[in-house]
Amino acid sequence: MTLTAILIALVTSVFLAQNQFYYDVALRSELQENARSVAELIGAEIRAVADSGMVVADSNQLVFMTPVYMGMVCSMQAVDRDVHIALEGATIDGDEISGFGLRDTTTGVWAYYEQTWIAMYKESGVKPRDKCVTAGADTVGAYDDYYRLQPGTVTPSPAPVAGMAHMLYRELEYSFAASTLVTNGRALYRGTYGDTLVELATGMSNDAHFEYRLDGQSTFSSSVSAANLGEVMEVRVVITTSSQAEQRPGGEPPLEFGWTVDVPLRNSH
Amino acid sequence: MNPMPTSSSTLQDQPSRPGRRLARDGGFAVGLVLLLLFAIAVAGAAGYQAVLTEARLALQSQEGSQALAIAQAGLYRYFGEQGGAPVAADTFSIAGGEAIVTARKVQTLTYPEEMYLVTSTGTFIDPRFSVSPAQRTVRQYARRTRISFEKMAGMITTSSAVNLYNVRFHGQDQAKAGACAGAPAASRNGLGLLNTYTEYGGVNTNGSPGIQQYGTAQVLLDSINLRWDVLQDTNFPVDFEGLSEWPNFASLPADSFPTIRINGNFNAFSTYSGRGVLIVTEYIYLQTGFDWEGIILAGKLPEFVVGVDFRIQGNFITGLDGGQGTVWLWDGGHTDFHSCFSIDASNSLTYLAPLDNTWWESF
Repeated sequence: MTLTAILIALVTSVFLAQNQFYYDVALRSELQENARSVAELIGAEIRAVADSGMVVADSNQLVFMTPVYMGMVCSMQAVDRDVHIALEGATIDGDEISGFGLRDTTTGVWAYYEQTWIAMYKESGVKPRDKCVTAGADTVGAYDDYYRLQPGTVTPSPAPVAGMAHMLYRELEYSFAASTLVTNGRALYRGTYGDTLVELATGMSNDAHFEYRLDGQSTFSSSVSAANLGEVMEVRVVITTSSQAEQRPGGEPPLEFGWTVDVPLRNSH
Repeated sequence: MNPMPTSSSTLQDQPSRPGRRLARDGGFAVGLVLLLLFAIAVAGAAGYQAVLTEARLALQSQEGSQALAIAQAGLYRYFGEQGGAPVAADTFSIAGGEAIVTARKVQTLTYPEEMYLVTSTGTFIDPRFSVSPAQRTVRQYARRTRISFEKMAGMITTSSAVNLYNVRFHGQDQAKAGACAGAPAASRNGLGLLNTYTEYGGVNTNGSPGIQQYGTAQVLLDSINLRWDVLQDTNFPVDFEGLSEWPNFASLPADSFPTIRINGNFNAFSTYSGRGVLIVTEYIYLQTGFDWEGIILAGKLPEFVVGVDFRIQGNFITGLDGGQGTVWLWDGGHTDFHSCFSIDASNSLTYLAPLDNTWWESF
């Protein structure tokens, strides 16, 4: 009986220890997945930011205008512009659009104009497509990618001309703030700048932040002034996740995981 | 009468009853231990699965980055290898993956320059998970850029001193209206040179102006904006290379202006008359009866070009190796600017210049 009890106790202790181990493994995996997925998402969305596309560059807040769809102005019909938008089979989600951008053909610099998709869309199909064909476009496989857009109340300067690169952009914000889902926790929020942000990932530690490297510099800084936003060449996304106290009972220290990604802004090079 | 067991008797003396024996010998420890071992095994399997899933997620993340790098490499390789009309699609094997690059013309700009949308899809296949390759797509606009030969002089030389007698350099466009778009073009220089030249009579020039002085060889070469080092490189693809491959122009379409490179010196006999872009990496020795429509680019011109009745319609650019010494262009020889021949010939020297600030990734 005694031996039985000892045996049972030993096996049970092994079982409990292993159970705790696998719980910690699962918890750590959750932290890692949060960190990796967030870093990848931010990296993918910020990589294509063009010059003058940064709006706010702070350690806890990152706001930028990212191209959702790119295109080219084929021709002008008075103030309306016929544009080929490289959809390649996709459809435009108007809710994603914060405005449009035009690239100056001489300086190569983008100018951004706030306008909803509903306000700028005039028509699509035969009319703009025919104008683009006249301008030399190859429409094979891109039959539905031609739109006629109107300025509405927006006055672009310089005025759009044929041959100008065109962008439909979304003004995105990422920010670290107190979590609304986890008490005393910190989270990463994402959404359209100026709108209600959505809590994207929880479990962020106080060390999670953004850093920026400017043109000509070799070190990163935690914030960039408005005057230097156009000089940002690289964004460092530092994601450090930490388990909550209630996830580690018994006074155990929290599990932590850090993941840092340096994202060069391709269009700034 | 059943015998009762006495104190001296043992269980072995009892009649055998298996159920009763088992009941007396029964316990729960083994069963419990087995149950716990089973639970440990299940927990271990679950933990293993969690770790394996995490490892695969990390691997997929890495493969996604590799696919992006492959796509980007394919894009830049396409830009670097394209000469002439862009190929509609091309495939490159890069770093264990594959990049498929396509080009779509989106617009004709100022004739004959064009705008293209170049798309590169990079694929990385892990042999262990071949059914789910990582794939990323990047795009960028590019401008098919031409060297504006039609904006250059009829003849250009970097000779330090040019002596002229009974020769002709016409900067007025010889192309008639309707021969091609934009013809006749605005007049160019008849002859472009550094500084020093001497006319000994019979020099027939026209243009805007007839003779233009550029000052230094570097200034003159910079104005041409020509990558002579690239054109000389045997890795730069041309249509025909060397005298052994000299084309039969009669068998080529009339609108074909091929690119021909001669590595070394070239004796331009009349039998080599033709059209296109002629690249001569060393000296070009012009001979009587040589007739060319298009562009001639030569590293050097011999000091004496005397009594040679040649004709070049388009552009004739010499001394691309840098400033050369005195040249005597004496008694014979015509170079006439011809915008249509210049444009047709220069089309084979076009390249795709990516438009900065227009790169993006499609999701």
